[in-house]
Amino acid sequence: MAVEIGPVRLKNPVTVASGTFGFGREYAQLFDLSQLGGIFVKGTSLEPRRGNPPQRIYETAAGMLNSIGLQNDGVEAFIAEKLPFLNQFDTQIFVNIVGNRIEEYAELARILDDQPGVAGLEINISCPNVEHGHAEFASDPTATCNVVSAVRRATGKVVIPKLSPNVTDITAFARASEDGGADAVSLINTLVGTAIDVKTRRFRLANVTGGLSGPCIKPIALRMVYQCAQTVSIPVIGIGGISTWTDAVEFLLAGATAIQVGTASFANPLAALEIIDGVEAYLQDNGLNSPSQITGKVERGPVDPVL
Amino acid sequence: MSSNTARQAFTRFTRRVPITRTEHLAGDIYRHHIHFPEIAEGAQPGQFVEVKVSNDFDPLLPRPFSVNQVDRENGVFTILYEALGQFTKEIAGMSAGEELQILGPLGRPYPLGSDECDEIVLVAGGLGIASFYHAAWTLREAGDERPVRLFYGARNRHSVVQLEDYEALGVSVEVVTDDGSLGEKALVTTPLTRYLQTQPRRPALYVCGPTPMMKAVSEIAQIERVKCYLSLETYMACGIGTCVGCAIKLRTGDGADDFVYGRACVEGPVIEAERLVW
Ligand SMILES: Cc1cc2nc3c(=O)[nH]c(=O)nc-3n(C[C@H](O)[C@H](O)[C@H](O)COP(=O)(O)OP(=O)(O)OC[C@H]3O[C@@H](n4cnc5c(N)ncnc54)[C@H](O)[C@@H]3O)c2cc1C
Ligand SMILES: Cc1cc2nc3c(=O)[nH]c(=O)nc-3n(C[C@H](O)[C@H](O)[C@H](O)COP(=O)(O)O)c2cc1C
Ligand code: FES
Repeated sequence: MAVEIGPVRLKNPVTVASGTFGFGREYAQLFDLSQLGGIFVKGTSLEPRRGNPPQRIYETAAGMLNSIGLQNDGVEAFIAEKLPFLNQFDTQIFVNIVGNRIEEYAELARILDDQPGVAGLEINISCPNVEHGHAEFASDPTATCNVVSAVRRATGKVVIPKLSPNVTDITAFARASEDGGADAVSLINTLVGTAIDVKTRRFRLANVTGGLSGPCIKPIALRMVYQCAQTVSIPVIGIGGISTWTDAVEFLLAGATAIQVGTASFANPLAALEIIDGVEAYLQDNGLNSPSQITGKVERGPVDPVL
Repeated sequence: MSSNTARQAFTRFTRRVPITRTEHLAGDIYRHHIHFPEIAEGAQPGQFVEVKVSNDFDPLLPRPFSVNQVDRENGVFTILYEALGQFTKEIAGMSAGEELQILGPLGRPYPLGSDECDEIVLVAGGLGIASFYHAAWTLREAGDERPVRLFYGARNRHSVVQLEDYEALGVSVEVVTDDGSLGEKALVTTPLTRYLQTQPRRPALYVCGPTPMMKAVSEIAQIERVKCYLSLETYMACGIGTCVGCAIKLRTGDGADDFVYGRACVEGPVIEAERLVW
């Protein structure tokens, strides 16, 4: 079941998405995290961030909006308090890094480069929930390329820019990431949305808008993963509404090398484990032994509604 | 750490488990008995569970409910709720033998230790009553002899539940209703204030109910200088501390900007009233 993201080997292609798995401590109360292919930890910045005022979450049809605002204790606290805990488990740890300026991303990369317990960095240039800062990195391919290459220069770790779906053509950003020296790209982050309470005539979220995630975004995510996998030759990590093993297999067929399980963990904390079992059984049933054998193997052709 | 050592530390549990019994207590208020031995055994008063019917996407997120009562012998615990919205209406229609997906036990319990106070004063508004039976029962079970009092405010006499259960435990109960159909026509703060003015010995207040009621009780507690714990009912997603969606403002100093956002599901749901910034 192993797959490779650059030089990093994941024991299986199923990882958990940033911001939906904290720093591992909570779900470690429920199951052995060593079963996971990898863990993408909550967005981490140089300095602690307080986050947005509540109301921060709101459930929508087959999804949810969140405007957490990247609340975190900063990279020093991550290294001192969170990383040793995560390193008890036999799984790969990826740090989702967040900054306002290129130098901040590079500084985070330098600091984390010294940490043997960190397998790679996921560059979060796509969080929709903070006011200033990295919107430009997500909306201008040149800026994306610049931030990726700055991080690339600062670290020998695997570098994975996480792309925003809130753009006209996501493939331009995948290409810019590859040009900047990325080892892989991950996508998608949340889609910007909002909701209104008709009784009070107010927005449901204090921040007005939030990021939409969950099963409702899956078709968009799947399409974007397919397009990006067609565009770049580095691995694509698929994210967006993956809740079952069939969802995961769809992403692999669309071209993903690995996947991240996000919001589904809130609905079912064991979702990632069930997906691992399901993907493994699917491969077995089809006489295959590696997920890479189905990566990108979707075909066009006549659609048989019975099959 | 080897996987085995990690496994021994499991303190939360999740799986699909059967409802063993369903009770219609009053009006739209129901109680489900649920078979889950680890939760019946391990849940402490004030803790909650996250409940989902299935892996359906409608609704997508699980809903939090207090552990209302435990029966350790039979490995059963109860949830008590009002069928108000989509989810609660759906589970109200479920009967013995059907399954729910449960995650728990979750959250910080009521501190009921004997060094906290000489008298336990429970203050319930509406369905806030749900979390208190387990608390009163646990005190009796532990042979704690401190007096327990319950001030219970409800809409009307049709929405009052479990009175006999509290009385059977020797809890002194005072009920008030919005329309006077049972007890005095008053808000729960009226009998509570009256009682506190009799200057009882070192009471501590444990409060669960609608936000305006909890705020009013916190203010009374501050004036009367008594310890006060609130059980918050914040909108939640994960319920276990990973999403930080259930943010509550926790005081870190006296300045307007001296606060951090805590998680209602981990630092709460039970929180010292003086720590909370409204
Ligand atoms: C720690 C905790 C313990 C609780 N214990 C009980 C209990 O013992 N008995 C009981 O009747 N209720 C309890 N509640 C409230 C209960 O979770 C809501 O009544 C329930 O979610 C309603 O869902 P619904 O779909 O039926 O209603 P909806 O129509 O969705 O909403 C009705 C009300 O429930 C609230 N609500 C909706 N979704 C959530 C969510 N994901 N998290 C929190 N609140 C939500 C809404 O703000 C609204 O006020 C508790 C809440 C918390 C946080
Ligand atoms: C509550 C919440 C917090 C999130 N926080 C982060 C974050 O800190 N960094 C990040 O890159 N993505 C964050 N995300 C986005 C997810 O990692 C993921 O890209 C997105 O939710 C889509 O996947 P899903 O539909 O499987 O949840 C967050 C999502 C949610 C729901
Ligand atoms: S509900 Fe997710 S952190 Fe509290």
